[in-house]
Amino acid sequence: MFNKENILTYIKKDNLRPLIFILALTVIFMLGIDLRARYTHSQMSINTVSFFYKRALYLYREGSYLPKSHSDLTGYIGREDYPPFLAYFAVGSYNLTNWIHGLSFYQYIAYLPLLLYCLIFLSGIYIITKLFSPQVALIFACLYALMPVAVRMTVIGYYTPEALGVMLTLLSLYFLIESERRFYFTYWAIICSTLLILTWQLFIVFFVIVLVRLAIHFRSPSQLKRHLLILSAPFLLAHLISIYIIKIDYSPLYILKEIYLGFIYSKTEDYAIALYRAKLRPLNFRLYLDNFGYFGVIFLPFGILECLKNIKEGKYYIFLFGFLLTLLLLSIYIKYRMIALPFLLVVCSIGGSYIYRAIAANLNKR
Amino acid sequence: MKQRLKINLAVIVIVVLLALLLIQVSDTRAKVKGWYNFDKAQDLLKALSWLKAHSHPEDVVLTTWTLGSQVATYADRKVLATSKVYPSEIKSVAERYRDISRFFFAQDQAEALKIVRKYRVKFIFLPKKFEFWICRYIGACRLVSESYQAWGPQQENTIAAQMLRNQISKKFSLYYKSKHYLIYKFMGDV
Repeated sequence: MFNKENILTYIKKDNLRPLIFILALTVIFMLGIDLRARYTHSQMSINTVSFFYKRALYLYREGSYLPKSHSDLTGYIGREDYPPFLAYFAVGSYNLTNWIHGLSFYQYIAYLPLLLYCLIFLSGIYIITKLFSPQVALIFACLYALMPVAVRMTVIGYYTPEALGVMLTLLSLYFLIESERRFYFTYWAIICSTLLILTWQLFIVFFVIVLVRLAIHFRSPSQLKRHLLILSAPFLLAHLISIYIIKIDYSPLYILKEIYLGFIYSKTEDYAIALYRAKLRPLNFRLYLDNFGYFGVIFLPFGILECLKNIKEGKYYIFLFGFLLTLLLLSIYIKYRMIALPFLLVVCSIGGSYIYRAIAANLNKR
Repeated sequence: MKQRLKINLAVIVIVVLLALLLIQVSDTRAKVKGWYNFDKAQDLLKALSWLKAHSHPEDVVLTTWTLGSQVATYADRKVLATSKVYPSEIKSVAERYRDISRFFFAQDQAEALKIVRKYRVKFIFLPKKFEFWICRYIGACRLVSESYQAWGPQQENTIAAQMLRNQISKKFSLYYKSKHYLIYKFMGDV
């Protein structure tokens, strides 16, 4: 039964491929965990982290979101106008899983980015396999596990909306692309993009992509209906949830107003002081390399070329356009690197897969 | 021959990619190690717990806005500014950022007291590794070295320099001192 001939026939039939795929993913996954957990501690002393931790803690202790009347500032009636979903996600998942891990709420919040690493890893592989191929998914997993900015986003103690925002952006994009095949996915796109709005102010990138896709690629009334639904329903839902149910001052409509005001005030001295904080760093090659690593440089041109070659397919168009749009944001301020991440990961994975195929083709000629 | 060259090229590419993979892992690992200073973080949390225990809930804390959220969260006290800002708030936020800079770079006590009274400040929380670059907001960078890493030649009279040296008037009393942070209490009426 286990003679040499049988084993060779078994291997040649590609029976081992799924096993090797799972094994490779496991190794990459563990390497990612090691990078995010070995040198860090369950403490959260970063400025932005404490801002979000305060909201989660209040929700956990009081059972309701921080009221509008609350302000961290003296003599200033501030607005509670930051996206609230991260706190609900944190408290909800803590209550659900507490019986397993037994961590304190503080410790759990510190470890939450690691949980999000696992969720993005799994959902990313599923999405990329479905949209492209297992090969692209494997490269995606590898890039996501190792890329410095991806590690930063999901390292222990880095409790900010960015990781959850990246996961919801990927899911929203996936359902948007799949909705072209089956209308049913439109509802999932609406749910995910509503949660995205309630998580991250940079949700706007997703909606610009939908809007531009509709404007350039308008084909039929059913497509118009689908896109209009994805464009309008999440705005309405997020506004209602935020203003009337949670009762805070956050709304996607206010964010649009803030973006407009940002343009209006962008040349003033106050703007330079308040928003740029003297630390505005536009993108340069060194910063790009620091954030996206060597593979973010090597795979990118191949990925862009592959996307351009297949630009007529919605999925290539969406990821390439998203990447170019976020690159534009990055060229203004390196802080926008997190929103560029999902697009860059996918485009680079496509480029990496192209290189892999080229190498395999050359070696097979032997 | 051409075929052989292509195969060799493919092998070289594989070797280069594997080498880069190893370099990337070690590079990212080095970055992660540099992101956190556990000792400093613990020291900050300890200082803020102390501040919470030794102040009244209504007391206002003056600190740089990069520490604002931490003071508001872990000490549960109001501050002048945090780094949270929307474009619609920039006027008020910029004014507060300027006032914080004015306080730390004030060259006479009267100027500093104006800010203290304006916001009814009771405590001043400052890092020993002071954020010199905030001098840019009020045109006070002549007091700071060109690299913004230390004081320049004319800094002796500034409030921040006096606080860091603990050679300040009795209106401000050093209440807490740790490896990385100082807490002063304003002893006058606000």
